[in-house]
Amino acid sequence: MRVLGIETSCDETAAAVVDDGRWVRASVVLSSAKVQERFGGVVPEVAAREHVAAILPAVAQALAEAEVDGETVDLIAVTRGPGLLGALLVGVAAAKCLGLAWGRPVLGVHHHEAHLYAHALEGPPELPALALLVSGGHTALWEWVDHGVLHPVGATRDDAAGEALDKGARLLGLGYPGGPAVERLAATVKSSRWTLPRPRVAGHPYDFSFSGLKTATQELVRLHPEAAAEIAYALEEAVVEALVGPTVAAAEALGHRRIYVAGGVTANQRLRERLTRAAARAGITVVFPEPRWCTDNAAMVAALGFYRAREASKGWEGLSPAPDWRLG
Amino acid sequence: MRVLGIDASGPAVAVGLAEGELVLAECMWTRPRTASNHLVEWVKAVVAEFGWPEGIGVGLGPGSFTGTRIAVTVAKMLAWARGIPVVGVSSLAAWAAAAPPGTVVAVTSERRGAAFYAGLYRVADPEPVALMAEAAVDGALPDPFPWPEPLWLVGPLAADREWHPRFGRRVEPRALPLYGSWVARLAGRRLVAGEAVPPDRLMPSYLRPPAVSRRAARGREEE
Repeated sequence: MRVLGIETSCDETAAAVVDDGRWVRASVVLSSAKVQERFGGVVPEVAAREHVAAILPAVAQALAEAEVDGETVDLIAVTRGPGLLGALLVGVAAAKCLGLAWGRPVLGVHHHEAHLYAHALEGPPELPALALLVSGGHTALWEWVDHGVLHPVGATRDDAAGEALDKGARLLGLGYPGGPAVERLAATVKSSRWTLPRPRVAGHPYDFSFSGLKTATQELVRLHPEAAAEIAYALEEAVVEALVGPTVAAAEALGHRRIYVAGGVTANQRLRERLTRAAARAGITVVFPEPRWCTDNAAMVAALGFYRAREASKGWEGLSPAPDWRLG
Repeated sequence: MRVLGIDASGPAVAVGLAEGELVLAECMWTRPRTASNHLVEWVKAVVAEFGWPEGIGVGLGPGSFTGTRIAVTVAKMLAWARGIPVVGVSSLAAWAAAAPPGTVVAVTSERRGAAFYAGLYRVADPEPVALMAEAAVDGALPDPFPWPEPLWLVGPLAADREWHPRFGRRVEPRALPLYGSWVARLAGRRLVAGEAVPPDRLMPSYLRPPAVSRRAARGREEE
């Protein structure tokens, strides 16, 4: 089965052609990050304007690189939410038009669930397992029981992990997106004088909280403006530790021997090393996707579409975005 | 040439099919915010009944940023995927075009307080003649207002009597709908004249920059 995936939930316009949920024939990501950089974050109206300009080139390029004709596509999978409404509208409208033009069904999928299907691109996921999603917009733990069956285990109470890094980067005068910038700066020192707080949520051992980090980072920057690299190190360390503890504890408590990690922050090298090591001590395997599938892309959307294809029903012409769609 | 016309720039979500002067199909709801749900459904219904059109026309605005984006996305994706020629037209001109020939029409759209979009046309055959460049108004109307001759006033400002003297001394408010078939008819003339555009070049006519500068600056201060 050949699936065309479309992703426009934030500032990336992406299209991909994936066969049988695994074989990526083409994956195109056109990012407006360069435009957004000027504003220090994603501005919804700017993102939406970029999507309407980039959606057709992204789809056309994906089909051309895959060397396939649109009519050979069996299903169109599109991110329906959560995300920015104006951005989602462009992807959903485009997907429905292609479905109409080619006479193929359209399936709306959940953006966070799609991130987990970055793993499917390397082979069918071995379920059940624990899943950790860490991105700029979301941080959550689920029991990934089966395709389409995700049970919430924990989530952030305020900022996402990536958001904490973005905000820290801004305080340190670094660019957007902040994660890679903080990681690069932190790598220039071997340690930090400071330990930033790793807040826990009382009574909810698998929940996360990152908003306190911003205030602590802000204070350090004010007192020690010359020590940006050390502050970046302390910030990265705090975010990584705040993620590792609850994740491994949840896997142990729920009896999972495997943790699938997904989302943009997964590209962070320290998170990869620290989580792998901590889990290994408990006899648990951690699986990371290839770095290119960690950030927003449409291959993961197409992969999820393959596993959920049976749910594509008649009446998809009325499909609309779900910007606040909650999973599980 | 059988042309599909679509518009979601503000007054309505509209899909029409026209062949020359002949209107074959018309779907219109004054519920523009439902464009995302209904535009493709209506196009499907028209295609199921009449087959694929030979041309596609879309109202580029100015008007609702979101609405024009949906309409433009639909037009460009359908045109590209089916290999159908496509062209954009002014939503305001298509709206004015439904008035009788010879009428001068001031069209207003997407009002928020004293901010709205405005166009001024003399309706003529084959299409309305613009008497000024379409404008994003913020309080003060541009020249040549107030218009000295009889003037039809269309859109949200037609319902606001306080504004009428600023548009002209002989304003007649009119409840004129924006039909997809008029978008189709204006587009059809352009397509016949060989003015089709590559689908990927089709973009909304925003007239206003995104409201980011002030908000982004404020966001930074809050941080």
